[in-house]
Amino acid sequence: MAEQQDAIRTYGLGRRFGDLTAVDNLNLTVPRGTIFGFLGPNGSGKTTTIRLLLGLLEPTQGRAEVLGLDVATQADAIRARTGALLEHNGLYERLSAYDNLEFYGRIWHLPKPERQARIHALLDHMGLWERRDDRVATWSRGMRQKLAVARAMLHHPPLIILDEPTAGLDPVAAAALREDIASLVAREGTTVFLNTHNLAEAEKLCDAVGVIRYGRLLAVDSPAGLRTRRGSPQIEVVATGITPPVLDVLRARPEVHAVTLENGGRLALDVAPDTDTGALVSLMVAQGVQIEEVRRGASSLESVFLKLMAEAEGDGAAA
Amino acid sequence: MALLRDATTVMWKDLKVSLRANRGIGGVLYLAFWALLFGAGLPLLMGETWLTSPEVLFVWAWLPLYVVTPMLGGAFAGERELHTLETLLATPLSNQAILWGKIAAGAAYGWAYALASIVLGPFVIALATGSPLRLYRPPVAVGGPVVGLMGAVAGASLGVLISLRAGTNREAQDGISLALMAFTIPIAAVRAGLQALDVPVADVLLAINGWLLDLVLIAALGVVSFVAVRIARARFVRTRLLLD
Repeated sequence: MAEQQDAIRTYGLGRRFGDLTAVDNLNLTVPRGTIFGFLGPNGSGKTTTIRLLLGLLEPTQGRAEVLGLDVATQADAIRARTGALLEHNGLYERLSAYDNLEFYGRIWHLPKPERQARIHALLDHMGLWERRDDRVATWSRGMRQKLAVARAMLHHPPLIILDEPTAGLDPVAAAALREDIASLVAREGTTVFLNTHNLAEAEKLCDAVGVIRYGRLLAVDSPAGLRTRRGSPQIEVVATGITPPVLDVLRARPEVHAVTLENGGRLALDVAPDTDTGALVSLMVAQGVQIEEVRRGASSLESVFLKLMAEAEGDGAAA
Repeated sequence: MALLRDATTVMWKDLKVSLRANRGIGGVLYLAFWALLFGAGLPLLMGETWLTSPEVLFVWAWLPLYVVTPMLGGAFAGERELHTLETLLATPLSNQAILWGKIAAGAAYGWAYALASIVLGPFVIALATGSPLRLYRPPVAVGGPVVGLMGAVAGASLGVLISLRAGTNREAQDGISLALMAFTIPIAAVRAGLQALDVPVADVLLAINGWLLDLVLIAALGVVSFVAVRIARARFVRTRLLLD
């Protein structure tokens, strides 16, 4: 029964293309009703994983269940219950936005009145209704991505799979799309499997994230859990007078793992758990730094992600 | 029932995409060119023979396919090229519904031209010669639309099969053109041979029972369609289609 609560479960799932292992022994659980972020750089195996989950590729190793259905034997039933925005938006650019949704509404056998109402509601929600009769080819990339998200949600699927939905969008369009996804998901209680390499997006949207590199799952946790459990404590210092020699002094300290100086004089120090913050501050003051603010917290998701990537590189090199 | 409904949905989309591609002056001229060629040009070229010779059956079987070629090239190769194939495959549409929908769209498009040619021909001849309206001989009048349909289905089936294997739209269209030539060349060769022997093609065809000729043509086109569809169905493996 416990398995029925999960939208996705994979058991040692893997896929090879000749000598290349795209996905390797993936064991993953995504509970229903959550937004799960699958984080990884380009070429890490995210898109292959999606194709395996939708039955568009056969696994060469292990198996997977989506909504309690086996991907090897019940792929049609999985596709019937899933909405997807894949690597490319898959829209027919010669057709209007309305006709694109009409086509997919017919595929999912939505009755005509329901189809019309649903298309209206989704386009309205996305702010696209007024331009419903325009050919999609004339639309901006952001509008097309919104339309593709609307298409994925058209038939009220219990699971939607989104592959880099905000890739290539400007910050404003990306934020608007994220907001649309979040509000639609909250309203409809859908489970979301979100492929992304945008860490801010994952942090903002996701209940849990999995980090993948070279086809291997490196970590799974909530964004906050990942930051606290997999990252080092962090000391943030806002100051002036932080010169390269000061940074060298800090880097030479054994309790300091990483030093990052951002624009605006914000210094982030990844440190050992029992680090004496006061001693580090005194050291900086002695070096002529004028400190305005000091704050202790967890690592950013970005630094955890980069740390995991570096570890994976090390493992890859060792292997 | 679900198969019919889904295939109709795919056909609806494919026809709509094709017709939308032919919007604007260029598109209208393109459609008008073929309609005039089949409906007026060929009847004028053949004159009275258009109404009396069973040769027109071959015209209705093969020539409309040249119009459908661009559409059939896009059946799979075009979708792959435009990155719409993967999203289509990620739906619950069955393989058969996708295949039949695409074949039906191509066949409907080609058959429309054949029908236009069948209907317009007698009027064009009457206008051009100033003689009263004459109709086709019964085996041609009855067999013509069926042969036209079967020709369109056969061409569409072949086109979809070629498109399924092709990497790009251009590659698919080249393959389709070659396939059409493979059917056209033997017919043209027989025609040329008869002319060399000073034997009118029409006389040879008229010596054959008209209804029998209908049946032979329909059966031959049926066999081509059947074989092409069987191969296409065997090749349509969803989990390999994205890798081809």
